[in-house]
Amino acid sequence: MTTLGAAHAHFVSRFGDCEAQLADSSPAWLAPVRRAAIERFAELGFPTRKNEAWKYTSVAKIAKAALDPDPPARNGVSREDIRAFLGSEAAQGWLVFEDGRFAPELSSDDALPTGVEAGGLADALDVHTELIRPLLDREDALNRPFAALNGAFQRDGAFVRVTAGAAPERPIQLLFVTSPGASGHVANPRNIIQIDRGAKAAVMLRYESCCKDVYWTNAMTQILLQENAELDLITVQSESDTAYHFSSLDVSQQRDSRFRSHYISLGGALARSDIYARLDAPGVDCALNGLFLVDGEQHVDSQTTMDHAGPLGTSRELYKGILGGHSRGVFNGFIRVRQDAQKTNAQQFNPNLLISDGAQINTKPTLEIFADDVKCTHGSTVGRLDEDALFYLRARGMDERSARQMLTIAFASEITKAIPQESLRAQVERLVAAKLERSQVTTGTA
Amino acid sequence: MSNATPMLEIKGLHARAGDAEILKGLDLVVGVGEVHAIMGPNGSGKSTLANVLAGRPSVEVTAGSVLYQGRDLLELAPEDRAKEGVFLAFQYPVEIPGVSNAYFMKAALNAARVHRGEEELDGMDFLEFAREKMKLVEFDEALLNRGINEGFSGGEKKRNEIFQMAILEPRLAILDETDSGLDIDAIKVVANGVNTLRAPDRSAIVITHYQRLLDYVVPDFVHVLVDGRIAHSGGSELAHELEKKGYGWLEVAPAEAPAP
Repeated sequence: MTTLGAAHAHFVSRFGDCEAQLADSSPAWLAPVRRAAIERFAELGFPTRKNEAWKYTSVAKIAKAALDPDPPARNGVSREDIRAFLGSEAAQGWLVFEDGRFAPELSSDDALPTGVEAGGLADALDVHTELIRPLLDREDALNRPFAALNGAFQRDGAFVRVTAGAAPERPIQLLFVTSPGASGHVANPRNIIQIDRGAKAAVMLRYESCCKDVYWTNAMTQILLQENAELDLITVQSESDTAYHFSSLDVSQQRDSRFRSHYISLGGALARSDIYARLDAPGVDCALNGLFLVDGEQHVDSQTTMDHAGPLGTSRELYKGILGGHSRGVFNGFIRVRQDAQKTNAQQFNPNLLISDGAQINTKPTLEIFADDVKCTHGSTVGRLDEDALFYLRARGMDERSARQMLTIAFASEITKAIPQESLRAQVERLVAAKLERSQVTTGTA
Repeated sequence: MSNATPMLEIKGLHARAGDAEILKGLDLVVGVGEVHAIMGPNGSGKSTLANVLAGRPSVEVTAGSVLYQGRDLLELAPEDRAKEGVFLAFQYPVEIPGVSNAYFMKAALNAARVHRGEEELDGMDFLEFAREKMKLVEFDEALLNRGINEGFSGGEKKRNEIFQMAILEPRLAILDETDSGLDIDAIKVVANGVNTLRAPDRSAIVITHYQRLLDYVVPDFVHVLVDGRIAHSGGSELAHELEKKGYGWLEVAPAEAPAP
């Protein structure tokens, strides 16, 4: 408790130090928004494990690390680093963010597709004030302590807008890289994505790192889909295994819009994702797919809330976990169907694959239903690789490691194959395979 | 052929699955180029024998020896047996969604080729090779791109086993009741797959419950397995005799059955 208390005080007092400087670099309306956010964080503090949402995930290590929430900007990512992450096949069409801040000179110089505006959030504040201000000032974005912390300290992030009726064929790809000099730093990227009426797009968020030391990425992404808009959001989190990565994702959907999240969590010593999808307009469709693949001493925590508030909504949620080494996984999937959300159809499933004896998963799918005419299913499983399948592959000449790897990739493929955009799917498959290749995941019972 | 090293030489084989002893001193010699049929009542140990030969970890060999081309087979991991040319057509092929048949077979073939010191086949060469084999077993190309046995009918699964056998061209093929549950047309396809592979340097063990398959794959020898041992051996005519008389007459005194 004292560590958490001290860390809490550290962040609040750091805000006092940099408040004036933060105000200098932003429009005037942002100052009270930041102040409200830090006040909210001061109330909430670092969560203890008595908090139900943090029951299986301790933030004591982060609290102890006394990280700097407003470090000097950008610390030395090169174009070579970018190329190493992207490979040759994907070198086009990337916006790069270094330590959470837009880095145009690291981004590829090809033009954005028609109907797409994308760049740094800080640059967009004055141009798109009417769009951005209500999102930054949203009170419900402050219900989680680290989202509030992001609100106080954020300086930049991605701003993406797809204009009405546009359907860019090429995905919008955003690469967040932590710099080699980011040791001890917190990055607070704030991303805003709006898909206007009738538009259709795919956005990828990739988190990579050049820093091999302790740092913290504390990201917050807000998404607004207007009427009949459609978005595939592909997130791949491949931070260093020394990193803390927290990400909050808030989705608001207007009538008849369709949202699909594909969230792939591979990196980080401690990775936590909170997704809050509010389906308050009629006829909304929402799919949350997720894959976490961890080993060693990694800890990954996925929290999702599917909040059905309007009628005729459909939601599907499939989160798959693969855990090796002594890793820990947490899945907390909450579906709420409010009284007005009649004719809701909600499904949720969380199957997990334990690769080693030392790995553990806590999974808790929860339903809360107040409407009477709904269809909801949920469930979770925990299992191991099928011995019969393993023997079948070996009997055809696959060595044990390859056979395990093949079966593990097969388990993951239900998530990766659901990514409709071929180039993004190929990228994700490559990153998942690479993680399996270098990890202990496939070496059997350790 | 009598002076050559046999393809397979099993001596005094005892094996258990779980607590139950299934094989109780089985002897069998399969010469190079020969096809042997193994018949016998349910629970006599036919599938256990097949699984011992392929190396299923859950079956434990407690005594006896198995030499494959003169080498100790039991020492080898299942994958090494496969790469050395042992193939088991499974009685119950496993469904593995998420790994395509094509990917799997290419990886399997290339594992064997690398083992033999040959070059790996690339995607195009493999596809050409696979198409040839698909024709042989009347295997639909659409199935090649599906997950392994994913949503296949019983007959398609068995056909896939024979297709895999045709791809891997084993030295010793073991068919574990591949014919059960198949109609006569499918049985002819299975038989065609086995007969095509028949060669002076290859052998096969065909485990079956019925004589039907043996009308199309005419074996050099027929053995009857009763209670974990070979109770009776003969030529292909024995299969017809069993079809008429059943197994009852052999179970009376299996220990006194005449040696081949």
